[in-house]
Amino acid sequence: VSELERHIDALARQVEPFAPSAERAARTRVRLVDAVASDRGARRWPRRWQLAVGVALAGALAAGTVAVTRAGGGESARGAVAASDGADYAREGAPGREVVRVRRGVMRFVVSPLAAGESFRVVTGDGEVEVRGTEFYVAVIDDRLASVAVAHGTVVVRHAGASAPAVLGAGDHWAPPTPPLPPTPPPATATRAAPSPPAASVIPGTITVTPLSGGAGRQPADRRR
Amino acid sequence: MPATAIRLGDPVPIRIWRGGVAEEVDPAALLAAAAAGDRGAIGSLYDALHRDVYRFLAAAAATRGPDLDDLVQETFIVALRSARKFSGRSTVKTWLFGIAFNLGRTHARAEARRRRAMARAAQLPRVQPIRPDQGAQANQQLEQLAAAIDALPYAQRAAYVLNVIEGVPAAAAARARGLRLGTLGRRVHDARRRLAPIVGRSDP
Repeated sequence: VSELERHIDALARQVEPFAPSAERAARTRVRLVDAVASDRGARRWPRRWQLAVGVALAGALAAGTVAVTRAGGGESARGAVAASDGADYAREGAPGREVVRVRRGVMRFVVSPLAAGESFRVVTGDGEVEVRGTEFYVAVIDDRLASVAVAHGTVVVRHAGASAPAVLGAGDHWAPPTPPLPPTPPPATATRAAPSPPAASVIPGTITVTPLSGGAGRQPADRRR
Repeated sequence: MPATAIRLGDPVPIRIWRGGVAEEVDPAALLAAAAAGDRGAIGSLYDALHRDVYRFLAAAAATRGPDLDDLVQETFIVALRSARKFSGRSTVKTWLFGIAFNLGRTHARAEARRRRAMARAAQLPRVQPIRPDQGAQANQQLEQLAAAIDALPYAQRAAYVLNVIEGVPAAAAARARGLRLGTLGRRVHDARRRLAPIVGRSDP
């Protein structure tokens, strides 16, 4: 090892190492212990029971998917959508070029990675969120984009009140330049009532709709189970 | 349960605290107990080694975001699932680094694909969180060096971090990674060669 290499190594060791905060480390610890416990629980199931439950779940998901696809006009989509009660939205566009028009409500989208030429956009009266394959939340109040939060992946937000688009990554949050008007009470009947299959899941080539229960954001730990 | 490691690495036993009393535990035994489903052992193993895994993965996978938490968690999960493969030829920490190395490589590849796609898809300004404490105090050369390490190809970066920064002996690092000693040495050498311009000195 030459003197230069020793110097490089010495400097490299001075680069401040990463250290998680106590809170962050504790959060991962809880997730780890829970994940291992549930992993072991799942493994203890006899294989034939796992198979039976798998078949039953697949059947239930297929039935729910068919019903929703019919309600939505038979279009395909690349992701799963969860909507709050009273949400007013509609799917538009064509297969491979999905557009979800949202007028009111809080929505969660889980979009599987898109192939070349495909697009998935969430459109409101004053802007749009273009998806690159991700999980994110959109809140719309009176046809105005009120909030965008990205859990995983990347989205591009274009808004009438902004001069340039904003690219949001995981953990980023976007809010409009001026606060939207206070929300109005939702009407007694929504444009589309959300059915209640289990949790939203990504099924390539289909779109599933589930109600969004309070704070139903999927945490990263859940992806690991 | 609060716990602390005596120092980096084994065979020095891990000191854990039970009800205010310090207890020294053989890391391999702790790994075996954790793999058997002992929740206390899982927590103790994590408490003892998570800082090392966080530090290594942050440097090797060049990530500090939420993905890092997932990678750390996955490292321990994979370790517990494959605990029977632990032969004791390396320390538990080095063995964990080997697992983290593989997971970090997968992550780095996915991240590289994502960045390439982003660059192609949109040349747009990226929204960056504001960190007022960043930059003012940091040494510029160290910042440049840290950035250059992050920019290294994954194989070189992880080998360099494992061997030079983490100080895992070359033979042990190569064994943990299933590499020949010469391959590891070449990667470390290539990494140094790429970092040399940052240091701004010529080799005498």
